[in-house]
Amino acid sequence: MLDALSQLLFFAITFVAGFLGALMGIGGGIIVVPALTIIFGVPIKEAIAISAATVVATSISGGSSYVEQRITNIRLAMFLETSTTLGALVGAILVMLIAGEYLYVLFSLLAFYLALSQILSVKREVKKMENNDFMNVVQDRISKFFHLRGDYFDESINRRIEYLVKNSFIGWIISFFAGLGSGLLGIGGGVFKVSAMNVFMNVPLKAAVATSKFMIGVTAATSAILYYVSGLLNLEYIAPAALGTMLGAAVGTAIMNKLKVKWLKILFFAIMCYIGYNMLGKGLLLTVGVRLPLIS
Amino acid sequence: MDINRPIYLALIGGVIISSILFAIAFAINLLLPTYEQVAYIIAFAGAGVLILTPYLRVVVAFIAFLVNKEYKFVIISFLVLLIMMISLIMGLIFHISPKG
Repeated sequence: MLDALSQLLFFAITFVAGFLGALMGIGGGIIVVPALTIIFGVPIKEAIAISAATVVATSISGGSSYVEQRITNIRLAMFLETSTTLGALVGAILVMLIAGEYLYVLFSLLAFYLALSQILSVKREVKKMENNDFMNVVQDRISKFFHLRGDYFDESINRRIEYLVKNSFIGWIISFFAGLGSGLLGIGGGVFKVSAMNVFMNVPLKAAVATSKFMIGVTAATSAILYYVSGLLNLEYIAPAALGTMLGAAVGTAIMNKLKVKWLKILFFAIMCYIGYNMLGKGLLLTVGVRLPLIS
Repeated sequence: MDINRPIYLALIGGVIISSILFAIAFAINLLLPTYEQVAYIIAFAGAGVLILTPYLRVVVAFIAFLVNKEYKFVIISFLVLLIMMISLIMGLIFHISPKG
C-alpha cells in the first residue's frame, strides 16, 4: 500500500493534470499515465485503467462547471458524440485484429499539423472575436438541420461571442478518428476534438474546449467501465487520482474564461507538440526500434 | 425547458457523491492505514458512481430533449446511448483490456 507521502505527491500530480486538462479541454492522460508508470512503477495496463477513470472525473467536474457557465455547446457535443463513441467502439474491435504501431506515427503527424494550425490561427481568431466574424460563415446542411450554433460570454474581452457551425461532416469524421484513436491507442481524443471544432468547424476556442471537456467523459466511461468490472482499476490510486483531477479541473474551469485566447492557443500549441513528439517516439520505437530522447 | 439545468445537475451530482466517497477513502488511507480494506470498498463504490455518471448524463439529455420535443436530438442521444451500451456488451464478451 502507498505511504502518505506518495499519495500526496500523486494527488498533486493529478491536480496539475486536471488543471491543465480543464484549460485545454483534454483528459490529462498524457500526464497521468507517464507519472504512474515512471514515478510510481505502476504497470502500463493499470496506469491506462486509472487514467481512463481520471478522464471521467475531470470531464464530469470540468464539464459541469462549463455547462453552468454556459460555454458548452450541448447540442454540438451530442452530435459529435455519435461519431466519437462509434470510433471508440470500432477502435476497440480493431485493437483485437491489427497492430496499432503505425497509427502512432499517423496520429503524431496529425498532432503536429494541428499544433501548427493552432499557433498560426492566433491572430485570425482574435480578429474574428473582435469583429463578430464567427457569425459570418455559411452553415452547411447538417449544421442548419440541427441548428448547430451557439454563444458564450467571453470574460477576457467582456463580449458575447456568437458563432455558426460549419463543416459539420468533416468535424463528425475527425471526431470519429478521435474516438478511434482513444479506443485503439488509449490516447486522448480531447486534443483532436478541440482542434476539429476550432480549426474546421468555426467554433471559438473556448467553446471548443468546454464542449470537448464535456464529451470526453462519454468515451472514457465506456472504456473505464470495462476496466472497472474486470478488476483492473487499482483502488489504491483511484481516490487520490480522482480527487486530484476533479479539484484541478474545478480550479482550471474557474479561470479558463478569464484568460486571453492568445495564451490558450500558445499553451495548446505546446501541449500538442508534446503529444505529437510522444506519439512519434512510441511509433518509431514500436515499428523500427529507434528510441528518441525522453521516450520511455 | 433549459437543457443545461438537468444535465448540470446530473454531472454535479456525480461529482459530489463520488468525491465524498473518495475523500473518505483517501482520509482513511492516510490516517487509519490499518483499515485499508474499508478504504478500498469505499473507493470501489466511488469509482462506480464516477464511471456511471456520463451514462446518466446521456440518459438525462435524452429525457430533457424528449420533454422539449426536440426529436432530432432525442434520436441523437438515443444513438449515443445505444453505441455506449453496445461497447459495454462487446467489451464484456471479448474482455477488452488496455494495451500496454
